[in-house]
Amino acid sequence: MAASKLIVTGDIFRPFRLGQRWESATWKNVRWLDGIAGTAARLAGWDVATVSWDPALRRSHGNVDMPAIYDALGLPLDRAGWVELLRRPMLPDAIERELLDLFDADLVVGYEIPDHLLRILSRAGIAVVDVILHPVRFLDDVVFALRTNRADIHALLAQHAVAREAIALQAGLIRSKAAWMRPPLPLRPGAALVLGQVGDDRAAIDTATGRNRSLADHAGRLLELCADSSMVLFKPHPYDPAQSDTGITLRRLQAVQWTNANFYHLIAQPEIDVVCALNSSGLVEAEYFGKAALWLAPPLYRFGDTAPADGGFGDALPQDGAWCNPAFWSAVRGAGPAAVLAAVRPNRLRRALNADWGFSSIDKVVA
Amino acid sequence: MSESRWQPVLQSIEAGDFAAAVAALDRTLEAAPLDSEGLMLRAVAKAAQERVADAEADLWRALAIAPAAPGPRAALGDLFVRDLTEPPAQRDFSLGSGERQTSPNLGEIREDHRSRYEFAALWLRDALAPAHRTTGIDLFCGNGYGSRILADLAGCRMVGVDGSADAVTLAETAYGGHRVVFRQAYFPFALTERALDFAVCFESIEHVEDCDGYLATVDAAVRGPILLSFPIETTLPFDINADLFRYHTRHFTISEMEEKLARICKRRIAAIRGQVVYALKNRRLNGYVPPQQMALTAVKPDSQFAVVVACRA
Repeated sequence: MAASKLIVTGDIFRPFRLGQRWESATWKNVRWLDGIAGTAARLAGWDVATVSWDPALRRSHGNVDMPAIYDALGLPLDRAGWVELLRRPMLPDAIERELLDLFDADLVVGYEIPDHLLRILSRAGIAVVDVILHPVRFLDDVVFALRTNRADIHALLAQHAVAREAIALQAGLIRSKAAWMRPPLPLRPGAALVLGQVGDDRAAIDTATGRNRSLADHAGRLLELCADSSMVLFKPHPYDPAQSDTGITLRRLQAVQWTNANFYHLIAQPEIDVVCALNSSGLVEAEYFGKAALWLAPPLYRFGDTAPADGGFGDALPQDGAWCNPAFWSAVRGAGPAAVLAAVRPNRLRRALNADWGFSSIDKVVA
Repeated sequence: MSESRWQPVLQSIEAGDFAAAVAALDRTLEAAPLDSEGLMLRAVAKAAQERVADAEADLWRALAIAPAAPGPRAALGDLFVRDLTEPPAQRDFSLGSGERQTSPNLGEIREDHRSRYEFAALWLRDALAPAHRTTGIDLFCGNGYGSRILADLAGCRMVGVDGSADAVTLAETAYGGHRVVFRQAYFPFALTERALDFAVCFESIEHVEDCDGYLATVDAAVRGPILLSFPIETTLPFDINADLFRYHTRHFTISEMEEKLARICKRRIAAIRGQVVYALKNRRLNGYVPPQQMALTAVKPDSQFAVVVACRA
C-alpha cells in the first residue's frame, strides 16, 4: 500500500509573548504530538509531516508565517489580535488557500485545532483527527479525547473509548485514599468550592464579545453561592495574577475562604456539595466525585459519543492508549493490523506532557 | 454608610414608599451586586413590607460581603426578635456569674454543654434537607459557643440570643461569623412568627417564670423542630437543690414536658436523650462527674437532663 500523507498540527493562530517578541503559544504542542502520534503513524506506514508556527523545524515541516497572516488580516500580533481572529466568522479566501496549501494531506491530526482550521480542512474534504486534552486528569495517565469529521474514524475511536465507569472507579479510589488523610481544612456540610482560571486561557474567551471571561463577570452568582452554601472556598489558579479581576472580586466577598489545598483532596471531602467555575476541567472531574457542577460559562468542547454528520465533527471521545500505537494509525489508514508496540504504562503521557495538575500529590505514598 | 449616595432611597423609606425604595435598590444591585450597603437598605425596605424571608436573604448576602458589618448583624437580630424587655437590675448578667461558659475557645467549653449541641447539630444535619439552607435561633445562647457548633456541624445559619450583654459581646467576637450573629434580648420578648426553621433552647426553659408562654413564643416562631433540654425533676429535684440553681424557677419530669409540648405546641417528642452531669449525694449536687461520663445516652433512670427534639404532630 502506498504511503498516505498525514500532517500533525495544532492551534497555529495563538501567539505567546516572549520578552519583547511574540511566538507561537503551541509549537511545543505540535512537536509533542508529532513525537507520539506522528511516530506511531510513521511506523504504521504514513508519510508524516508537521505544520505549525515553528521556524526552528526543517525538512518535512511546513512553517506557518503567522506574523504575515496577522498582518494580512490587519490585526496586531498579540493577544487582542488573536481574540479578534477567533471572533471572525471567516478568514479571507487568500489566507484560507495559503493554509490549505500547507495542509495538503489525506489526514490532519492536530492538538486542539482552532475552529477556523477545522472548518477549512473539513470543507476541503480532508480527514481530521483533533486531539483534545480530556478534562479528567486523575486516571493512571492523562487522557486525550479525539474527535473527527469521518464516520469510519469515529467508529474506531468508539472502540477505544474510556468508559465512564472506569473514570468513576478511579474517583472512588481517590476518595478511598482521602478517607485516610487528614482533611485539608475544617469544612462545614453544604460547602462550595470555586475554582479560578487564568484569563488568557482559550476556554475563558467569550468569542461573542471578544472579552476574556472571568469570575468577576459573575459576582452576583458568586454572592448567591455564598448565600446558598455553608461556606465557600476559593482555589485560585496558580498562574492568575494577584490583582486579576477574579482575585479582586473574590476578595470583596470577605466570607470566601481562600485555599491552596490539593484539588482532589478537596473534592474528596463529603462536606463539599458544589464546585463552581467558569468552564474549568475541574467541573467535569468534580461530577465524578458526586459533586454538583455549577458552570458559569459554556464548556469549550463537547465530549460524548455523537458521530460526525453533514461534514461536521463528532463529539470528542476520551481514548485509551491505543492512539499512541502504530496499530491505531494503521487502522485509520485502512491498512492491515500493525503490532501494538508501546505497552500501557501509568503516567507515560503525563510525564511526556510534563504536567500534573495536582494528581501526583494525591497519588503519592504518604506513609 | 454614605447617606448622600442613598438619599433618594432613604427618602423613599422615610416616606413609607418601600416599593419605590426596593425598585431603586434592585436597579443598583443589578449593576453592582456586591454592594453590601445596598443589600442592607433593601433588607430594611423589604422588612418594612413584611417580606421577612426576602429581607433575611439580603442580610445574609450583605454579611457574605462584609461579615463584620454591624448594620446587617444588628438588623438580623431585629428581624427575628422584637418587643424587648429591659433586664432586671438585680440579676447578675456578667460573664463571671457562673451561669455561662466563658471561654472563647470551643475546645474549652465543658463537655456536657458541647455534647448537647453536637447531638442537636447532627440531628438537624440529617433531618433538615438541606440544613445549610436553614436558619435557626439559639435561645439563651450564652457566649455563643453552641450557635457556632450548630453552624459548623450542621452548616446552618444561626441567630443567637441571650440576656447578657457581656455574653453577647463575647459571642460576637469569639463565635460570630458571616453565618452566625448574636443579639442581646431578655425574655419575655416576641419572636417573628414562623420566620425561623428551627429553635434550640438548651438550659433555658427552667430559667423562665412563664415557661408555657415561652414555649408558645418559640413554637410560633419556628416552622421546624424545637430542640430543648431541661433538668429532670425526678433525679435533680428542684426543692432540694434550689439554693444551688439560683436562677432556675423549676425542673420538669419528662411526662410533664411531653404534656406541655403536646398541649401548647401541638408537638410530639421525636427524639430524646439523657445526660448525667453532676455527682449527687443524697440527691444534692456534689460536684461534677468526669467529662467522659457526660455524653448523651438513651434516657436512663439516673439521667439528670433530657434533651428532646419536638416536632409538629
